[in-house]
Amino acid sequence: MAADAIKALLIENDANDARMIQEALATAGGAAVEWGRVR
Amino acid sequence: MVLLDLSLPEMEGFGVLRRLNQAAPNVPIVALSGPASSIDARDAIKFGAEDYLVKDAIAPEVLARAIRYASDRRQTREAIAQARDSALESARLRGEFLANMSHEIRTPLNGIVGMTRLLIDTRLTSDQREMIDIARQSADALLKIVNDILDFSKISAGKVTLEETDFDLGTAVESVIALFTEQAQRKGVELVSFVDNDVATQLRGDPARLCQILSNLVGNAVKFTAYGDVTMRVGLVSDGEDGVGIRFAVKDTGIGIPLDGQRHLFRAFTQADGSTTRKFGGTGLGLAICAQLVELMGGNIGVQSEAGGGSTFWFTAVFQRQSATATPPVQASARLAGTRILVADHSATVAHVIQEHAREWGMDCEIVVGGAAAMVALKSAAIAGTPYDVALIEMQSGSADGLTLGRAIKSDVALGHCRVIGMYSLGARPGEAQMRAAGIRALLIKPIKQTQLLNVLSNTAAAASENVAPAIGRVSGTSRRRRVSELKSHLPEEVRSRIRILLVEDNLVNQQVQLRMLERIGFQADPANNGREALMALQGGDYAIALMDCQMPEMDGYTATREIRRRESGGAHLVIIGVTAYALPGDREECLACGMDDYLSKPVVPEDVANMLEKWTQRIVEAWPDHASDPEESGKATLGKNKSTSNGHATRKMATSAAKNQSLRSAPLEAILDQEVLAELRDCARPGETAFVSGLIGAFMHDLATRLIALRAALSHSDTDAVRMNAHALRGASAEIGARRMATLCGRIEDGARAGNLGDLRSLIVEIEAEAENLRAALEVEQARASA
Repeated sequence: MAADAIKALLIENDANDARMIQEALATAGGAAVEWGRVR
Repeated sequence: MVLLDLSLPEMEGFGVLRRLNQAAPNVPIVALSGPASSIDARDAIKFGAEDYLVKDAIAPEVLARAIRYASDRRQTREAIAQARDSALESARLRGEFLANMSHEIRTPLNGIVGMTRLLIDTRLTSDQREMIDIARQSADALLKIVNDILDFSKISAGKVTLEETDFDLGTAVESVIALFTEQAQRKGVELVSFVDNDVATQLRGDPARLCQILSNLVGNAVKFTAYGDVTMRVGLVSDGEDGVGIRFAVKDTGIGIPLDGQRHLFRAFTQADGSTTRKFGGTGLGLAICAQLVELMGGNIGVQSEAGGGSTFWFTAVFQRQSATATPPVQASARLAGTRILVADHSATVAHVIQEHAREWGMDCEIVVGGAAAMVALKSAAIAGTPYDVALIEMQSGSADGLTLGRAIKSDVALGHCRVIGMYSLGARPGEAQMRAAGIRALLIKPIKQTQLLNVLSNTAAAASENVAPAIGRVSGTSRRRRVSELKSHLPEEVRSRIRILLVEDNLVNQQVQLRMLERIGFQADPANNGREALMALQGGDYAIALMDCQMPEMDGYTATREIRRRESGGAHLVIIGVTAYALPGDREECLACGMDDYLSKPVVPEDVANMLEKWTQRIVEAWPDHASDPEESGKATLGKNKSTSNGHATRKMATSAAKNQSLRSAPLEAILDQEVLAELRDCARPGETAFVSGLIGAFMHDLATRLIALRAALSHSDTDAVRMNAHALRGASAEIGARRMATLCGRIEDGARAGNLGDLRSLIVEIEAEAENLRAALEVEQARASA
């Protein structure tokens, strides 16, 4: 999948949701996702 | 790529979205929301997100697809924006280029236009004038095209509105044909136009845009035709309250256009074949502009063509009739009815178009190809008792030269009745002497114009019916219908008294008659005997108008006029009206070419002089600084009146010529001395003045005696020039006094001398002397009557 070439920034306040999304991406073939919180 | 949850604690999600878009416009964003705010999430799209997802429903493949699509969409959007920017930039550059280029082209073009205008004011032969005139017209047309390129964007944007002015359709068509004459003749392509008789020509519309369309179609036709002909045909489609629907068709025998190429023809920047542009040039804009203009004119445009089979481009357009539509298109044709004409031309198209015109005018017209066939046809018709009245022959057909054919016709006794008119292409005009020697009465320049053809045929037919040379056809007193005393100028006395006229005329009789004529019309004039005296008189006097005889001893009218114009060098302008005894086509051009403003033919008809003076006085008055205070009303009324009398006069002159001819045959005395002319001369005298006419007769008899002696001497010395000059002078004086037969005989001597043929003239001089005896007797009777 093309998403693996994409570097994504995840802006998510909820740590559970952030983990869920990261896992979903990894399952789908993996995009490099950095998780940040808004300051 | 950013995955953005819209429910953030410190900053509202849409605010983050906006800020992100500003900070990194190229980074795609996918909005995330919880199930409670899924409806809001849709709004994220409005704020610049590529997609949105509800977190509870996120399956791995859905998330991956959303990320991939968002990335693709953003890339596509960027590509479109770039393409749009580059298209806008390219359009801007093209506009800039067109503006620059048209400016660059316009600068040298203005030079060409300016220089040709200056050249026109220099000494030119009529041929040269014609050529330079076409050069000027072509440069003007080119300038217009450059402007059209600029116009194109305007037309495309629907910003062009058509003008509504009165125009003459025939003139418009002929002006377009004239533009391409040189180009077509250089290629050996015949150019022909034909306006159907039922088409109203006095129309209202936009003649400039019509000519633009026609120029484009004729220009293309000439460009793509290597040999053969280009024919423009104008026909009526409809004639109703909504206007006059007219169809224009331009047919050529050129390379033609294959069917698949025809589809793109009327689109901008496309030609049937890309290689066409390289071979034939052209912007590819022309037909697109035509299509748009035709649409504005309420019509359609189309083409019928096949590769190698020529093309016919046609369009229709709707015009309004002029509010006071005057004369039907061809009034003068009435007197041509029944005249038999033979046309000899190598081009079937040219010959057939002439035939169509001739038949519409009621003429009996046949066509032949080549000089030999023409001779056969002319002779057979003569033998059959149905001789041709007019032969219209091509001057440079491949097999038989027109001059040879002319000479053959002239030398054939059986064809004495037939008048020969020559047709020649630009730059190939035969010399006057050659032409006269070949018996060619008039010339027509190709491409033949309908109005020109009609005029020449009418004049020739009129001359033929009077059985005298056209130049002296007006000796007949019928042209002098209105009494001189009725011609008193309507211009106010204070205007007329400010107009001084110089009458330049070498012949004493003519001089006296014309001076008195001018006096009776209401103008004061001073005489000068030749061009040299005229120059001297002009140095000392403030003259407004000169009536200038063209043929005079010492200095002729042409030379004098050139000298006057040289001395004026752009300063005050003397109105010079040339007076010439020749009535050949080209004389008028020659007068105008040397700088004269207008032209009258001899013998001078009082009504023509009156009209001419009114016309020019009016123009002079308009240029006066105090013109505003002049009684405009009376001037306008006078001009209008003159116009109508002038037209009526011309018609009368034509219509009565045949009747006059009849009376000439039945009354030989009348041919010796025309009583109507004498009555007119008496009318020139002041009230109670009896010596005027007898004085004139005395002067004429003296002139007659001296001219006859001079003629005999010149003939015995074989001095062609002196023969011509004396015959010319005597012819003019005879015509003026009404000695019609003497004028005719002198005309024959003059023609013979001009052709360098003195041999036959010696027998003619005997005839002249016999006629002189008759004339003297008749004049003596008149003189006795006048003195009584």
